[in-house]
Amino acid sequence: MITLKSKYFISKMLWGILFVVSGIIKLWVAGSSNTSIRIASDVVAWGVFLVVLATEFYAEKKKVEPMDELAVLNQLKAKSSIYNGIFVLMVIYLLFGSAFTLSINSGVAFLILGVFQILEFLLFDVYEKKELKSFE
Amino acid sequence: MSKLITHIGEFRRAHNMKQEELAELVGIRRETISRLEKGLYNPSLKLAYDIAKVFGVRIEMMFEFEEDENNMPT
Repeated sequence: MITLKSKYFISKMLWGILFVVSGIIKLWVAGSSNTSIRIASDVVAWGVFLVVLATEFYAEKKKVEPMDELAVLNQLKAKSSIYNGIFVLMVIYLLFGSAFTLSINSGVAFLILGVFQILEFLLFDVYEKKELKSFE
Repeated sequence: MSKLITHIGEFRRAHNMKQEELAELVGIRRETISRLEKGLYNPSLKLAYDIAKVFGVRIEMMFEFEEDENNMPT
């Protein structure tokens, strides 16, 4: 049996890393016309994708701890913290946006989505530990 | 603000039951049972009912409210 944290690590952290790697590769390749760099980046992206897919498949086959109401609460807290973060960032952009331009290409979008996935796992872990530490 | 006091740990020990066993019976994690016993998490009504049902007692025997002295009616 694998713990809920391990399952969450696989479904959020690893996919997040894949998204970040894909985003970096897209940004890197966008500025290059060298075909060997493009092929190498594709190989890296596919390699990471296959590792993540295999790990996800392995986790699906394993029995997982029940997703009880405390875990759901911590998951919702993690998701809402990210939502609040996005909200604050958007407010900052609306207030000071005239000072810089916001241009999002597919590479940046991948990168941001990946960071959100990783953050969701990290925040979930923090909330789980926070409640444990409070009675130590 | 009233505080929820649980007697899960007392009932569990009286029934010679491990946290893991109780957690499995009510379909939650051992960590959640631990937090419930320490009063760090207030369960949903359904979970509270399920736990009371395991020990065959009324929900009021398993959980009780402690009124804050500042909020007590005079």
